[in-house]
Amino acid sequence: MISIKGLSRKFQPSRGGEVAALAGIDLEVKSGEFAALTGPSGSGKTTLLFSIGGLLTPTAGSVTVAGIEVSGLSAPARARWRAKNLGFVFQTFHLVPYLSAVENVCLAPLARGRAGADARKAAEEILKRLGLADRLDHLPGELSAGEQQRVSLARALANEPAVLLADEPTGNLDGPRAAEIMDLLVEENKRGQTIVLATHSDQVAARAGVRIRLDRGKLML
Amino acid sequence: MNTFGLVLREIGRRKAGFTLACGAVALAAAGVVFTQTLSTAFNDALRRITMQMGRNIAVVPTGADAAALASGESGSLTMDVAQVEKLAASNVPAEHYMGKLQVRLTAEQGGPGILTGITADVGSVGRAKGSPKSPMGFEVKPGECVLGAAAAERLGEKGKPGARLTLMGREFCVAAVPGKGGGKPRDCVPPVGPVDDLRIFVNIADAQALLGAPGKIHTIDALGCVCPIGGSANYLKDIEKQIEKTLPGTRAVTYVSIASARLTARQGAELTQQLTVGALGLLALLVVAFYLLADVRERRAELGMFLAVGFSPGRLAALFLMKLLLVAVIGAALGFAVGTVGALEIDPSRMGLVGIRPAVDWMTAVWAAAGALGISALAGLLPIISAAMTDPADVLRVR
Repeated sequence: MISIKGLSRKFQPSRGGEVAALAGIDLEVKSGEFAALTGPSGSGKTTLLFSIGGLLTPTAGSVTVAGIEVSGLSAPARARWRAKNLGFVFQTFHLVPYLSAVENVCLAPLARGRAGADARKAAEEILKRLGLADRLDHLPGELSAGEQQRVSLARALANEPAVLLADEPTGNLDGPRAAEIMDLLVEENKRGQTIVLATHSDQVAARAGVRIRLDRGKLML
Repeated sequence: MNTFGLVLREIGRRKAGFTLACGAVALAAAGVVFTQTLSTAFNDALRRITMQMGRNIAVVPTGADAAALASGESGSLTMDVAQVEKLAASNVPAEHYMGKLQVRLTAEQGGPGILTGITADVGSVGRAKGSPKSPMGFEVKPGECVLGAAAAERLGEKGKPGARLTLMGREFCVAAVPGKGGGKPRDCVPPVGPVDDLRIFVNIADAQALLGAPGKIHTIDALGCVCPIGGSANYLKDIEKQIEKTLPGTRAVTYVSIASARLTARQGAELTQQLTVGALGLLALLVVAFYLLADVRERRAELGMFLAVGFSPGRLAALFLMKLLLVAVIGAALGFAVGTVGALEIDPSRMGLVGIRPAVDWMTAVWAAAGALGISALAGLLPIISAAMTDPADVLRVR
């Protein structure tokens, strides 16, 4: 499903020398796998996740997802590809504050050019599946942190993506809420969803089927 | 929810900024409409007033005494009446050409007065291109005469319309002067000046017959354009040269005071309008630009999320373009309404300005819309580029 070969990513900070966030990563994630990227802060987890999602272009190497070499696509083509193949879950949820829960979920189909009643119905179904049946028309500010992350997860799943990428999805949640989100992710994985999750928590990583450890931009085998 | 719905929802959340941007554009549009509506009325009044001042160019045969002719003296040198048509058909920037043939009348000839044969008002700038102006002044039918104010006063009841008058041994019927725009006819030409008030106007053919000068005229009077041509400071001289080139054997003389009065008034009005509109336009541009820049800055993370979800950079730009379009349309509509009502509510007569009648001018709606779109497009350029270039990896990363 995901094939990464010789992936390097360097950054040029405004002060100081060049920083290698990723250095020659080779990685395979199979379809239906639940992989957890772990490592300390600054180890390159988010950079690797964003590279898989086409939000960052590699300095060297290639990223292929579902047979498409993402790193070779133009910005508009990457956007189209993301809308069709990817779902993102972020640590800080990134919900649009002026849209209701169901409208936030509808953003994903809208990005694919689907804006009708069918898209809304599908969004409602996912939210119900994630336990938010009574929160459909609530604004993010009216939801708890755990509920907001479930809306974020629903938005990521709305387009039935090939891959779900989650960047510290439990980072802003307390223990019980974090466990709930992990339960939902495990549940989705059981339904066949390929998931790559970045976390610095061993407890969270333990729920994933595959653990990939990064340190200073390199895979630790 | 579609893309436009998304834009409306976002506007609903940030009402204050959107209202401020619409207000700024509306203010600029209102300024355009207000000044343009008043300016149109002012120019219309100015045109009427300056037309009453008469034509500002006289074309005479080379060697003729233009000053003597202007003071009503009989001319000695003549030129063909066909020259009027020739000049009117040219591209000389002047209009309302009229040929004249004149003679001072003695008491025995029916004077004192100046018998003036006139052609019809012919030609205008671009006549050859099919955009003729409405005739200026009046025509005199063969066998009739129209009296200047002083001539009518001297003749009293004998000079009223319908009366018979003998001039140089030939009888004429006094005719009324048609009222402007279908208005009430006047007994004689309104007072315009000591020389012209003494004139008794007859048809050119009658004058030619009386003076034994068939097909001849003494002068061609014209109304020169009061717009500096090609930025030339000495544009009146340029017009004179063009006329003399078009009609060899003639000399053109400009009555500078009339021409410059027209030009000064027109330029003054235009300058005031341009400064007002420019200042308001700049203000609106700055307000809209700052509003959008603040908007983009505040929404960086949101834009990054849109990109991560699969919106293309072009689609992000479209979100802001739609908002700008709404700002422009609402601002223009509001500005047109406020500007028009404001201009119509102004009563220039309170300031001693008579004859200025502001009216709804739909063309200003087009100008207001075009101006609002232009301001919005300019103001939105940098913010939209900035939005489209949002780096999602940078704004979505938790530090």
